[in-house]
Amino acid sequence: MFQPTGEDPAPPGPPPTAGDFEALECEAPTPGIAPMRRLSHVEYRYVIEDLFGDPTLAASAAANLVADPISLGFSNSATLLDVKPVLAQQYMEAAETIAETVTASDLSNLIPCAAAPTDEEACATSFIRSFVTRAYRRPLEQTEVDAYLSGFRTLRDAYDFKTGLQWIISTALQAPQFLYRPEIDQPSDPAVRAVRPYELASRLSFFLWHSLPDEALLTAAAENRLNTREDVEREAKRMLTDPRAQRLLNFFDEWLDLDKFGSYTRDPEIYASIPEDLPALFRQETDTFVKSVVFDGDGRLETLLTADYTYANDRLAAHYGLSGATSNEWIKIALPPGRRGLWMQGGPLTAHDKATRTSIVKRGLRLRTALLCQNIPAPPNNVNLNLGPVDQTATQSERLAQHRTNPSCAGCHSLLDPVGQIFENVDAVGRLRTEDEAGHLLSFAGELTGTTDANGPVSGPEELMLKLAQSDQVHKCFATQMFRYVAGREETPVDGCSRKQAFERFKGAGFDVRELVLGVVTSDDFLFRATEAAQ
Amino acid sequence: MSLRISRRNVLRGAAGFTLALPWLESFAQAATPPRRIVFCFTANGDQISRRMIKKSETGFVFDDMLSPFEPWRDELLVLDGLNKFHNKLPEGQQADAHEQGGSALAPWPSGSGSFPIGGTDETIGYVMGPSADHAIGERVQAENPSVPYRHLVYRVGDNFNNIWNQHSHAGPVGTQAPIPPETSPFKAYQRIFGNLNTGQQDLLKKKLLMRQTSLDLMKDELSALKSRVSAADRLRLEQHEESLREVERGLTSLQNTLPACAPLDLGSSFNVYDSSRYKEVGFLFFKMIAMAFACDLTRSVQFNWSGNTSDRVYSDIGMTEGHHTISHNSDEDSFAKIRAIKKNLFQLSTQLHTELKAIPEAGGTVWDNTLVVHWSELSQGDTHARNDDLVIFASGSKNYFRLGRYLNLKNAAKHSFSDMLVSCFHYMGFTDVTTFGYEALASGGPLDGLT
Repeated sequence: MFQPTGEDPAPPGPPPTAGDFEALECEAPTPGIAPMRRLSHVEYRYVIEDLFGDPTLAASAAANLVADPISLGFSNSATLLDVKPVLAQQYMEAAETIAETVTASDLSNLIPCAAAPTDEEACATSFIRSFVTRAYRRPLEQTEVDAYLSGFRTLRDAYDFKTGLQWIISTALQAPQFLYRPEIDQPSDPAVRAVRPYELASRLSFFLWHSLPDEALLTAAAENRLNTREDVEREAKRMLTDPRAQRLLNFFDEWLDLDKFGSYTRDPEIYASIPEDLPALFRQETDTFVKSVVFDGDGRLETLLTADYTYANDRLAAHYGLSGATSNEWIKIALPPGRRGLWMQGGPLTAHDKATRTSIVKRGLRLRTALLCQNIPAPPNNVNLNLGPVDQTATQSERLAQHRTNPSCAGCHSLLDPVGQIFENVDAVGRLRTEDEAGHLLSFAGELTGTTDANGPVSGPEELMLKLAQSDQVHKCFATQMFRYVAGREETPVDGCSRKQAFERFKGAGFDVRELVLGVVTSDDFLFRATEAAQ
Repeated sequence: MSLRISRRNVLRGAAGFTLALPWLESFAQAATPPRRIVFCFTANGDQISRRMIKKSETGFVFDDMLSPFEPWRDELLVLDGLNKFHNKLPEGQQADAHEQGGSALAPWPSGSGSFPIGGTDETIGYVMGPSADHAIGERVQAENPSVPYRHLVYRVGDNFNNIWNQHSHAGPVGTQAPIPPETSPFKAYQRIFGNLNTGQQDLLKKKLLMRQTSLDLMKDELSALKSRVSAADRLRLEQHEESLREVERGLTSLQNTLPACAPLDLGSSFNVYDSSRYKEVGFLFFKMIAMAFACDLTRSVQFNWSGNTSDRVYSDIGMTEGHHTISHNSDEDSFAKIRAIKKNLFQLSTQLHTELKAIPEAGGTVWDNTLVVHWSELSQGDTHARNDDLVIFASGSKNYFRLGRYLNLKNAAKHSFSDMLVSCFHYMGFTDVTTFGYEALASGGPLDGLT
């Protein structure tokens, strides 16, 4: 049981650093802050999909919303997501379009009593109790039912019954109680309280499904079967076997920047006849691969990072120069020597390359920040960054080496360039190569430095990926990325014990991503809440 | 505001749905058009030493990079040598040159966050206060409640948002609240001009009643929720309330239109994130900005050709490397490219002047009552300097600034970027404003010698 004892937990000892949680002694739960969440656009899309069963309508509604600020690489910041005027208006217009679309034809699927209502108000009330309750993810208070009924009457009286029902749908889809997930503290709550069952149902469903709780979850909440760690584990395991759990792929897409392909530009003179929809093909490749490992395979991070196969259809296979795929169907294909795992797939590796060439620096930077969770400073201000005239006889890697003779550049670039250079065997559109854009022969051996446990020379990218897959720093970083995604914020020392709980489960299971997910939902941060007074 | 309440009562008044709303009458005040302002951003600075051939107040001669402005010289005030003074921000509260510079319209300290700062291993968040476009819009609405939109924020390119491409901020002071810009002119047009296209008054009436009834419920919900959440969450809910008020104002906009206010034909839609079409996207926004002014939908606009640190490849003018990448170099070849890119962007920017001039208003044109402020996050890219900025005021307003002049302010008593923003407030009629932003960045009062 994790019900609070009613006593405030003892204050934590000296704050550990965010990355150093293994030495912590954890007793009473110390959850970090949990700001009220607004639906991310990804969540909004899946909520609409689940409410109406129309993925096309949902995708187009979400696509019309102005992009939210990204934080830590993710689009679901707990603190930055708000409702500015443009978004408020877009929510309104989307809600109207959805309400019109779903009421355009036969109403009886959505609202059984609407076909031939004997009592319009009774029918509307029952619709409010079913639909708005679902949208709000909890039982409605009577005042809420009354407010919806009053609005319904206004529209029904001025127009007709159907308009009144449309208004209910349209209003619920832009209402604050729909857009936000409030977790309301009571004055009698202690500084740390257990997350209440309906709140927990939403926490679970928005993490695992990016959407609303289903009937089973709400029933569990209503019947007090969502009260213990065991309850949460049971529900989470059930939910992970549901197809909706595959929406967790969005975590991988955002972590790997596959959602930021909007401006993927390549110079056609250098990269002739590449598929027009290459970014979409890359994203599909990685999604198909991750799904095969996490949902249909062994689930292990090591497999994700070092698999000697990928997935492709005929067009992507032709682009890569791989044989085996002959149709639009995505099939498993063995990789040739020189590449392994999702990091070396076209999308993750080339997402930040230049229009005319690879970017060793940005590849190195991405590896440091996304896989090793290091913070690498941007170039200094007010310092002359002159690299001198470009030496056409030198490779990019050689030019960067000259660059590093400048001491003000060397500090950071010695962390970026040597590791980025190891991936030079893949060009800026994701194909294996031995020569660069100007025809210079490339070498791929290098050395990894600046890590806690993976330093040393490597013969090339395959060995590097094998090495990283065994690194404690990489394992912890992956867990950190997931923490940030779940919490919508950066980790703080207060979160140490929760992170330790999740990580130990991940580690104990051979770094199985599914076990990390279960570790997260049964950790203190997920099950407890620092109340308003404590925030 | 009592008028707003009366509108609700009119709408609620069952039978008639009288839409002759008293508060709309101020739209008819077309005799003296209001002043408007557009902040027009181009990235990565320029080349300080190659702005001018002759730095004379009235006999100034532009170097080639600025030559696109030559046809407009009589309507310009060229402000050279401005300083953003970001080094005066409190320790630990300044972002790097591009980041802080990109938010220079919001001259406030930066809060904590996870974005890297150039040259350090610290991280930083967004600036903690409103930008001038937002604050000016707020003042406009306080005096003119009939103006439905506080400000419009547009950007060409990028369908994601971060510290490098969001230049508008809502505040309030002490709060990080970046404003995601609208990036699709097609969607942005539909959002504010949608009412213009509904020939069907019956449909419009129905929509209005639905929306107003929804808004009433939402406002009640927000108000109940606000009292039960943490202080930080409450601020976000207050922002939401303010947003609903703006949506409410927009509901009945464009019903009593001014003479020149007319629908625009934006042509057929295309992928606005295709970087080869940046020019078309910018031009569509320019058309909309001019018409939004003519319709008095807003009086304050922030337009951005890109985010700061933009690495767009201007292949249409022969570039093969990205803008930001080139801007890091100090060799003549790189500077020649920077000058070419900026000349191109300045040329394109003057299309905004042309659009404003194309719409007649009160015996003149919209241009006669508009100030366009051309600015960048940096003075120059290779050094990341922000202490020798170029800002160009372009305006058809004959009765405020003394135009047709070049001013080198480098050694003037007042030469801070935030003083320049104070001058913008004054142009807009808010002469009580003496400083805008963090005090140490300002000298107090507008720049001298402009009017």
